[in-house]
Amino acid sequence: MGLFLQQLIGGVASGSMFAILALGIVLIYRSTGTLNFAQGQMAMFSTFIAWSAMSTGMGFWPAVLLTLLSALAMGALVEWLIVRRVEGTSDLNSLIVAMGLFLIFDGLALYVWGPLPKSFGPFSFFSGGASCVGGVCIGRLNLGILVVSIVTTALLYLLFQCTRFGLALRATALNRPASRLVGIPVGRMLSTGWGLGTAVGAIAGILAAQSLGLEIRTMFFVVLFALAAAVLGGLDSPVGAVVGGLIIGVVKNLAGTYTPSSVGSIDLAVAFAVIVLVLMVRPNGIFGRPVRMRV
Amino acid sequence: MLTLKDIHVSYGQAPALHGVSLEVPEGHIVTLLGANGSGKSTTIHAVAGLLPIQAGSIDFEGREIAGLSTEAIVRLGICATPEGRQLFGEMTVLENLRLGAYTQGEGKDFDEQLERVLTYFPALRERLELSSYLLSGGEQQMLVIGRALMARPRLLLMDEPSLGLAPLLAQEMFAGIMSLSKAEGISVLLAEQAADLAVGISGYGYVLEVGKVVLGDTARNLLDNEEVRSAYLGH
Repeated sequence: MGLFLQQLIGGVASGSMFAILALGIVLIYRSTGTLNFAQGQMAMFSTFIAWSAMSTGMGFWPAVLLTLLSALAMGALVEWLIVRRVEGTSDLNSLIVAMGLFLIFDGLALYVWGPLPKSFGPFSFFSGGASCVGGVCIGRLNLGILVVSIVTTALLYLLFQCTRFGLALRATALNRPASRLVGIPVGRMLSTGWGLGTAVGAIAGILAAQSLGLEIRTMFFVVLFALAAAVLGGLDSPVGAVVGGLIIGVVKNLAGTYTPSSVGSIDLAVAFAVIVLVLMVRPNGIFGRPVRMRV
Repeated sequence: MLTLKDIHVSYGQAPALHGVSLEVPEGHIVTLLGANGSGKSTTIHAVAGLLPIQAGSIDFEGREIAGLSTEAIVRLGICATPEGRQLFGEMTVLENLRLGAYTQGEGKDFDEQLERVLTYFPALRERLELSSYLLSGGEQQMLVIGRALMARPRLLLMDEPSLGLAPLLAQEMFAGIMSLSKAEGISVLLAEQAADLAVGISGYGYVLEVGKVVLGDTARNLLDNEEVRSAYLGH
């Protein structure tokens, strides 16, 4: 039982990191309908910005703030400069744009920061002794990841549910012609969606780098799980992204614990088997909106 | 208040409006008559800034609004209620009304305006927390009009407001539009298939045929015009 709870908590922590990156993917998908494969590389790029800021002597939190602001601007710029040109043409075009973005950020990061891994944390917020309650412990790194994820999710929830701006963002995602008609500047909302998605991705990147280190490939696996989480939860549902991320984190951890180590990375196989099973029952994801046909 | 001069609009290669000119005087209801595809909706969309205009001018209270974005046009005081209702279906009635007031900000004024709109459409009051796609057709139409009113428009563009409504409901709705226009001093440009009801509440009407205005007159004269009656008013 102790081992189970221990692994459960570990799964929730790593799952919350997938959840945050998946949230970014969902925000972008809701904005322009783009499934952003480049989410991981954009997050990696943002994390390098934080690294650069800190290597000039800036403190951790100021560097994080700078990174979030530049990620916000970067995402908005990408929507405005690139995504907008092909929007509404075909799903294939938006797929190719996402792949192009992947290559752009991958290549740019390689050019600016080189191929060698950088040391990036764990910073004081993420390091220290474990906290234990009744024999079940959570390491400081996992605790830090969990706290940041919860705060991020809560702030996004407040933004979307309790502010006029968030209402307009949701409206734009639901019905663009109607949003225009009530006077919402739709273009600005789409850019903001990309900006927010990219900034949330930057948080995931910084979290991931605390345990995985920082290099071009840091986010390769994380983004796979995040994409899976987003699809599992329902691509247009922020709640789904969080739930999907947690499910994948927990299943992956438990599968890794309770299968013989000789089988290797069976945890991945089990996690994806769960996704396939869920999607067979709910093709739009757990919280996804079924496409309503209007006659 | 609103003057269209020689408006040309086309969808791709196909011209939809070639030279539409008309006028909506302050405080009046003006109806656009015409068969399907004659350009009624296109005219409404052009004024609302939903379609690019190739040539011509649209003057609203002395300002040229052709080429402005829909957002800018809403801020100037022109709101459209589109055909097919275009609600935010997954959102509640209250959220739809809040979005209607998007250009107005939210403060004390918002509560005041909400009260006003709810006095016109009392049925919406008990449904404020309901998802709007659960409303009946008539209630959805009320919500669309109510949402437009939240922006405090001085000109309301209505595209087929009676579409899909039972005749009695449609009649009620036109009576509502008339009293609303009188009480609030709102001018209305109305595109409507149920033309006899619409012309009945209007001061003026224009007849469109394949993208051109072929006749414009007072509603009284249109109702007396044999040709118009047989072609568009159904008797």
